[in-house]
Amino acid sequence: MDVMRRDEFEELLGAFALDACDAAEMAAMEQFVAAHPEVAAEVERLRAAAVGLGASDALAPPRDVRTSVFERARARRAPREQTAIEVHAEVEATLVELLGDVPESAWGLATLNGLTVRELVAHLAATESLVAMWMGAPTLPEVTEEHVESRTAGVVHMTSAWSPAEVVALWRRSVSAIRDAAPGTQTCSWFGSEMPTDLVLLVRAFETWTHTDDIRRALGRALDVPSAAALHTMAEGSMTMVPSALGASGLARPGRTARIVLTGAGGGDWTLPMHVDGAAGVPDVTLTLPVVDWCRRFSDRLRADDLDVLVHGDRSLAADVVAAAPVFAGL
Amino acid sequence: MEGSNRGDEWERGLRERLIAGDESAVADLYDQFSSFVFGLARRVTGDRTAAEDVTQDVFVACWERPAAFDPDRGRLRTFLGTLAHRRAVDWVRREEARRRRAARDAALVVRVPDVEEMVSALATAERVRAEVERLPVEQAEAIRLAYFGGKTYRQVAVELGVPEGTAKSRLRLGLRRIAAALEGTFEGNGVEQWT
Repeated sequence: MDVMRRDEFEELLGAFALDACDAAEMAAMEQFVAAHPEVAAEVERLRAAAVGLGASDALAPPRDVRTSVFERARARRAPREQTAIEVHAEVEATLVELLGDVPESAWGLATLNGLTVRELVAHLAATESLVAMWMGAPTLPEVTEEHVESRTAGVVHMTSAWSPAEVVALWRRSVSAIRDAAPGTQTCSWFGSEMPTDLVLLVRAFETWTHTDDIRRALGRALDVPSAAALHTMAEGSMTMVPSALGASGLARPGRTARIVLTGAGGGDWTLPMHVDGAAGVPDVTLTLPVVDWCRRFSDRLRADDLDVLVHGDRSLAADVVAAAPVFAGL
Repeated sequence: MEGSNRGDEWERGLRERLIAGDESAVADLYDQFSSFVFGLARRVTGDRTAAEDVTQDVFVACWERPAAFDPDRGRLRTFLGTLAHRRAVDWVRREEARRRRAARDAALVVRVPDVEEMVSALATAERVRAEVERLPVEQAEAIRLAYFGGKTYRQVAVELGVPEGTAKSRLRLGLRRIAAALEGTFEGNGVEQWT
């Protein structure tokens, strides 16, 4: 049974498309449209015209509206989480794509830490193959050195006559070995201690992303960020390391609690003890900053002075967190 | 209308990503359409804070109920514009009710911008503008009061001193002509063809 006659519907159509009916009429019109698919095209046509009326007033909203959208969206419906292994795969795929696009002449360009593009890939092969070895899936059995800089020097030397494609293949073989071995393990050996496997994968993802950007810088390309889901999982991993980063930096603050609010797509909200053996309490300080900036700071690619952090509470504690964040970022 | 093109594919992909819970899709959606949505809301409400709220509501709603957008029935811009306009109009009507309560008998002055003033770089808007200028004055006036003034056709009828049926037909005829102009077709001089 129709809520209105066809001629009533047609008479109201203009007002409907302009949102100029009362609530009861709007509801009746919606019902009619739902029951009569043949009118949908005409409704869309008139709505598009109505929207065209307002299209000439485009005006950029203030920046904080964007941040609020993400905060409210996340509160309403949780984004899909990426597992550590998915993040590891995404970041690898991004670097593979970039390396496929490096001109022949650019492999010798210097990157941020002094290695050439090609040597940086050899460095990644050195570190990935080290983790693969620790996971019991060695890809470079002839190299047993565990100290990162020495191991890198060894692999750079070993591959000095190889083509770039061969170096890339060595790196990718090690990445695959890790991803094949990881699902069967809870923890993995990590420089003499045991670390949760997921965290190892995320640390690898951080390093791969960071060096991807190093290569982009060398090539004069714009930096890029992982997907929101990957960033969120990486940020989550970095947060579990903050208490130990404070300890390793001589900045442990027993009994103190920091809250870190990361804004933008992939952000989140974490409350952490400022000491490895502590428990989080009421925050003594809250730091708010973009998730991408936090991740770049964690990777030692943003200086403390270049971070735009909004601080509420004890500023010296905020400075400690920012100072300690990159302590585990190596070569 | 021509539907199948790259933009259409992008919209379908974006919808799928929203449904899958990919937060990056919100970023893409926002970056593509936030100026459009905010500008529209600002124009209708005449209030910056209200327009910010409408903008947030529109994008949060897309994240919460992404399946509400049906790419088989229309374009994403129309969907978002309709959402934004409805919310903006709701605000205007609430605000008017509030003001009426506050000053029951005071003459209500609603600032209604001129349709003729809405010029911008967008090609669509240019064509709409050109067509609105060609509309009979009484149709343009009715559309202006309804779309930018947030008035119902009944209020439009009162404001213009015409019967409700006349207000409804002015809105319908005027909008049809704009639609025809957007499609690059000529529909005659406001002569009803579809009913």
